[in-house]
Amino acid sequence: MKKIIIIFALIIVLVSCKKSELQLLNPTSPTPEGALASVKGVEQFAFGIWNKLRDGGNNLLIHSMEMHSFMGDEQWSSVGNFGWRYVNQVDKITLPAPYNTVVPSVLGLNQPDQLKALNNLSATNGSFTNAIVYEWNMGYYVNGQANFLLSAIENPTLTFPAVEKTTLQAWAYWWKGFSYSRIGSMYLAGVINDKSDGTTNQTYVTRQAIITEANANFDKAIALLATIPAGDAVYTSTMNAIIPSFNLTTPMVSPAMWIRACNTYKARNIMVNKKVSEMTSTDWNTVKTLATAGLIKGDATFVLGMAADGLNDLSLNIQQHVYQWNSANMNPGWAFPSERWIQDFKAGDARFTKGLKPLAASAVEVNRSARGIQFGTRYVFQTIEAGGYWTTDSKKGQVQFAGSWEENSLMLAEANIRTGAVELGLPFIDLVRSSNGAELAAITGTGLSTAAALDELRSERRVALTLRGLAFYDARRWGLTTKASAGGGRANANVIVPNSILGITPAAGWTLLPTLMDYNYLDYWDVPVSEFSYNAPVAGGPVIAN
Amino acid sequence: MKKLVQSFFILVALSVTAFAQERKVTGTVTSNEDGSAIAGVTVKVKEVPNLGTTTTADGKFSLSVPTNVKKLTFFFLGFTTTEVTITSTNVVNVSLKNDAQTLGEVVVTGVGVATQKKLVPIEVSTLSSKEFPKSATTNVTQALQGQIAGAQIIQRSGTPGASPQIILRGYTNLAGTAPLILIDGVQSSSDLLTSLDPNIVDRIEVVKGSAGGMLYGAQGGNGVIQIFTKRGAKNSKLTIDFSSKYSSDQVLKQNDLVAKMHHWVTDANGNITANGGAILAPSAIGVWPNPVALPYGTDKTIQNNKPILLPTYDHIDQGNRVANTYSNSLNIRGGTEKSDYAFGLSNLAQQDVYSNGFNRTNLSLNFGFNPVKGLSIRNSTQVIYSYEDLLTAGRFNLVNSLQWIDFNFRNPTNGRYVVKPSNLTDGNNALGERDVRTRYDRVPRLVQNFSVNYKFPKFVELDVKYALDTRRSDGYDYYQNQTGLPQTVFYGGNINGSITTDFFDSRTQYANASLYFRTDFKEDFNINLPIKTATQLTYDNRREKSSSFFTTGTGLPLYPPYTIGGAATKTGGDGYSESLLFGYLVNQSIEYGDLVGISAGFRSDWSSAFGGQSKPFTFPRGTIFFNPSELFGSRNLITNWKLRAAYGEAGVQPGAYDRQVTFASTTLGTNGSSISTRATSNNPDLKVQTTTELEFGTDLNLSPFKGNWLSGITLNATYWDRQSKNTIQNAPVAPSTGASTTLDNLISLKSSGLDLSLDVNAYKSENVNWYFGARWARSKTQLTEISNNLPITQGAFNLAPGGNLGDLYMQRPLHSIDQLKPDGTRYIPAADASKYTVVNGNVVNLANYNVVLTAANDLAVVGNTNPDFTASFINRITLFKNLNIGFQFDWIKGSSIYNQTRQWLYRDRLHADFDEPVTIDGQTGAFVAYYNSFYNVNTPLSWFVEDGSYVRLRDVSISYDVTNIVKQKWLKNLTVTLTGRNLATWTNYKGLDPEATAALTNQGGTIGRFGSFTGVDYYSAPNLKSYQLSLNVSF
Repeated sequence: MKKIIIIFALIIVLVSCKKSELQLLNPTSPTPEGALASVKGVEQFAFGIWNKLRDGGNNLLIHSMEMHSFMGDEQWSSVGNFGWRYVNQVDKITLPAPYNTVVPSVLGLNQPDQLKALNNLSATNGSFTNAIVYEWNMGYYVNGQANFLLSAIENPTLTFPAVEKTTLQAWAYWWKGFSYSRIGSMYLAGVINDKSDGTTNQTYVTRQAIITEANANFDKAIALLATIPAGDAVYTSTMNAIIPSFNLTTPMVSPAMWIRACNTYKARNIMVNKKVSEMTSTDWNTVKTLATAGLIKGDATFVLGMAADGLNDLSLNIQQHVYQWNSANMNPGWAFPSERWIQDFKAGDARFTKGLKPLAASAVEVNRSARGIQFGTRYVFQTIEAGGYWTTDSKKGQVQFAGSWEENSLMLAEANIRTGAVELGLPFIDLVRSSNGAELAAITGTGLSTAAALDELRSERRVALTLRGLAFYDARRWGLTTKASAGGGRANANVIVPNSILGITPAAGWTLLPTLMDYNYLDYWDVPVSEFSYNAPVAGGPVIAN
Repeated sequence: MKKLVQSFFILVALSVTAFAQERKVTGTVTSNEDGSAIAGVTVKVKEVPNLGTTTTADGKFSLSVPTNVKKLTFFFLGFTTTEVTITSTNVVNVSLKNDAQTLGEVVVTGVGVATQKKLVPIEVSTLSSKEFPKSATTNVTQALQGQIAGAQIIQRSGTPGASPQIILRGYTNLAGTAPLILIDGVQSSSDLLTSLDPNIVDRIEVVKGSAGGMLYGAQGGNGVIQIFTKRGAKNSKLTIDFSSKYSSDQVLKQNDLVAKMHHWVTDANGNITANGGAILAPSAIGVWPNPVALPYGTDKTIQNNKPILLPTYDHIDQGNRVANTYSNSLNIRGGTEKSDYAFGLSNLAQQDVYSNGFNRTNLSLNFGFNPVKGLSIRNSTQVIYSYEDLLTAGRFNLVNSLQWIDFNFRNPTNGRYVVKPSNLTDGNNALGERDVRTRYDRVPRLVQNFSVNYKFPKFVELDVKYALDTRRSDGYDYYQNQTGLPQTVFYGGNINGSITTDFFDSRTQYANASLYFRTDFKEDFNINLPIKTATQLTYDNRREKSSSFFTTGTGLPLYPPYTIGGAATKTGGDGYSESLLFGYLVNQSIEYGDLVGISAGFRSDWSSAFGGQSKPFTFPRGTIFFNPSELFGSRNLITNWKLRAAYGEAGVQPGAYDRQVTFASTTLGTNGSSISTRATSNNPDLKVQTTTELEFGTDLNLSPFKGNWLSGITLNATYWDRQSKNTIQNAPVAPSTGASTTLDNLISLKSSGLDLSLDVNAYKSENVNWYFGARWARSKTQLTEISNNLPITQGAFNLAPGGNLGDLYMQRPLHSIDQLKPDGTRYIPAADASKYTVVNGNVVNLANYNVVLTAANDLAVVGNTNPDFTASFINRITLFKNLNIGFQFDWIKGSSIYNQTRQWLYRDRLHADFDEPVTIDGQTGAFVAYYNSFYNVNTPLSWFVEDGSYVRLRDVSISYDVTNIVKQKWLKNLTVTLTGRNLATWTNYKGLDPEATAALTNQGGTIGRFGSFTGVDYYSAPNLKSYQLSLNVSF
């Protein structure tokens, strides 16, 4: 019996646990204490900002750029996923004589009402059709990581090489500037948050104040970058560490280019946030000054590319890139080039013949899925290898999501033309065209009227800055998205109209007609429901909804 | 201790010497059905009623009786009381006959100490292997389906090896409902039910509530299912059972999903044309041009009423074959004087109706040994090897496609399937994947139990158990390099092909040490009170470890060998997780005869989820039973009546590392790892989720009539009420914090329900024995509180204070022309009322025949995926002793299904509904504009919420015992059985199978941590209709 009791006692001892054994820490994930206690860890955290552009399977930056592209009518999408269909829901289209038919939105709702209706928690988390959450989330997720980075850099136990510390701080401020620029250029109001502890604040500020904050962050970045000597080896190694291989450029973005990119963005922030009619000469002069200190031909900027094998990049191998959404191989039917964008090419522009491929007669898109006659096209994009806009399985192409020398040149062109210096502006257009291989005759010195010069500029911005997230800004400031009854809309807007609507034969055919397109889009979006529900604004703040 | 034991011995010795002992009778009591030993049988001397004993765990008894004694009675609930005349021999071996009507066996689950069912204070349902439906061929959960009131076993997919959703009563938390699974007293992982061979199972006990579950600590909150494997009996002869089954399986197809007519542009002869007017015809490689749509969006008169003049194909039939399943099982049992053994070997080879198959081999060994009196040692080993090479993707593509696409067409130039037969087919041809992809997963698994039990002659029993459940899963997934094929579309993530191998290793160790201290006042202390006490002290711990890694090679050569080594790019990753839980349990029970008993106890648990500095979580329990029938003078009508009540608290742990704030680590480019904050931030303040449950119940045994009819009726009824607090949810946070959600103890739940079971010996005569059983249960789980008071929506589901778990929350078509918006204004201005009409209850715009829907921000609860009740009706009939007929109907009533498949088919205007004419404004026709307007960009719409109620003929079987015909000495039993499973379903549901649903978003993504597990039909794999033939041989 004793033996038996001893055996039992022994077994119990063998299987027993100590309280100290409960201290089990997650062995696979880095922790704030562990990872940010070294310079390398902070560097990797700075690198991790890129990862905040994605949210699970969605690249939020790409979604933002796609929305802008649809609303700016360079592409269209009739799919309901992510709310795409609703952002480019044209209010009404008036057919030309002799038809004079007004074709209303198939939903019977205009875009502002539809977007407001979808700005509810169910559409956000249920059907994922609240289009306005993506850009907001991108901005604040990036901002959150940048705040954390700034506090990690200040860890007194860490000793950074001086240039590395400066570079990482500039990096954080640049991303904050970028984030606030996106928020302030698209939403009525926002929150300024510098906290890294996962808290926020209820003091919403106007979009103008958000832009001011954006510019302030760019200025901080500029001040830091100005201290870094050209060709600094620490700078180069730091940048190589914090820019993923698929986003690297040749040459690398130097401190001077980076400063110029900040100036270009600051110029953009002024120009895209006022209607052209509201721009004062002071505004134009500021744009001119900033753009003069902005990007120049040959400058590299920050870009978003794809890994050739589709692995470990931010396109996630599932079309999460502006050059991939419409790749006919990958996901046909999601996005198509707009007929309104196609008609903005000047006759003879080589970029048109290289960039677009006509659809076979049997494959022309007409009133796709019966969701609106604006959803039709005769062309698809050509691949990048063939000089076009779309990538294939080769995953070529890097998109300039935060300014480019072409954009800067065209800002200079516009600022000059709109301030009466047409001939000072036109060379910038010619420079962009010749650099892009447009094979168009130079317009400088051809005696263009201001109106003609502006039309050249409009066309060039449409074509040269395609898919860079600028089309909606232009449509908004040029007044196209304003209600036609208030002087907005687009006349002579090409639409592929089904013959059944025209009452002509063959019924299955279509006719391309110049229509009056009354977009009637929201200028600035409401603050998303997912923000104000969980962060109620304090009383007396700016309006957060249209 | 030693002194105490000695003094007890003296006491016992004294009490024994009170009788004049002249003769010692020993023997073993076994069951006549399978020869297994029966423990706890009351053996009494007929002439001296207060003289008796009970059999030990191995069925043995030893009794000293006066020489004049002639008869012993053997009594045990569940068996016919047997009287045996003792002659000159002193060894009496008795074989007791099973008495199905009393259903009063001993249970052990949830009560700590093995207890006669008569004295159990909680609801413990038992299912003996003899009661298994005959069609339960592949796994144990099939046997449980419909058999236990309040245990919803929902087979959500017909894919072989798929684990069912098991919901015992309501919901205790939002993350999962999986009950704790025990095998022979030790914990195992939840998928064991689908991994065991049903042939080795002796019986199953199910405890649905926390009061019983809490004995097992924080794991027991969702209830407990315990499996007892078959054992040999001591002193029994070698028995060999062999069972062989064949099953022919086909997919359940309740309805045709796709329309028979069309509305494309046609030529003068009615042929569908492509753009340009040519008659639609496939290219040489089998690719179809797009047909031209009629302007249904602008022309309301267009109807889906043209005959398709092309050959058409039923794509469900093209994608699903009639599959064969074979299962063979060999079981050997026997025992010697000091040991017993059972050995099992089985194989299940199951073809999938969709693609490839599943194969499982089980080896089991159960060996018991009694080296010295009172000491028993048992070893139980299960070795399970499973292999599956299923391909399951592409159901969407198969269903949502044009009627004339022949998915089985092979390109004559290369013999391959057409990858993308039409631009209007979403994704690729599901069948073509087989040309380019090979995958498998093989899992060897060992479930090893070892237990030592020692019963002191009096009072004390020590029991130690140790279990190890370990498995290594090894997966392989190969996609061919698909460059250079006629189409540039491809399967997998990369056209250049890839190979992924993954390896997963998990180990769960469970140890349990218990001390039981029992007293019987009458026998132990000679106090004339029928009081028995049992004290249980248990310490147990559970340690889980898992690790994994994977390697992917992308960019494979176009020539063999295809290896990761030969791939252009290699990527990989790893994972590791460990958790530890330990605690102790104290439980005390006191019984006063069979009349009344109470028990109370508590359990304290420590968990690594809370780190080393945490305090234990302590959960109390208490139970009481009262048998009024003990006070009745006559028990002719009411043979037994018990009232019972139980209270218990249990906890559900957060995930292993949910409290630890960590970063995400992601590889980007060739730079290496990046570190970033998490979108869902972890919460260092997370607490354990707790559930308290109170149950009241009664068990009533009646014997209304003495004749053939209704000789026995048993009714069990339990009402239960649960409250869950600190339920963990992903709480949304404002994006300006930098995160989207944080884990939080956000929610409180309340649920209650009623479980009823009825077992009836309907008719019993020499040649006919008819058993009838009915089960009925209802439960609803309500969300009482969200701490931030803001509803949370995921997919079609909504969590809102006052709402129920499983609520479907969505837009609706307007039902009246004067319907108001949430702001109180009219949807349709009064002045425009004449421009609208109501069709089948929905408001339709006469201008375009479009249905008018509530606004995107005007949503309402339009159904609930949980049923109003579940019921089943079970019949087992034996005719002329040899012919057995059984059938079982399962009835699910009042559950809603959001038929997402139907909504997607509305997008493509392909659903069979489009053939159905409607009358709008006096015009009758299958108006496309009307139906298509319900599609609503796939945003959840109440039109697609259907009544998912169904009655299913779950099992029907007929078996004939041909032993007496064959008449061979060596043959103990030979039975031939014909069975059908899921042969018929009665439902109004428009999809394929109302049982095969899950909680998914409109893109098929899983909705997690939401308290919803069923109810969305998103291209689910339907269950199977099976015809089976089986042969059982015993010798």
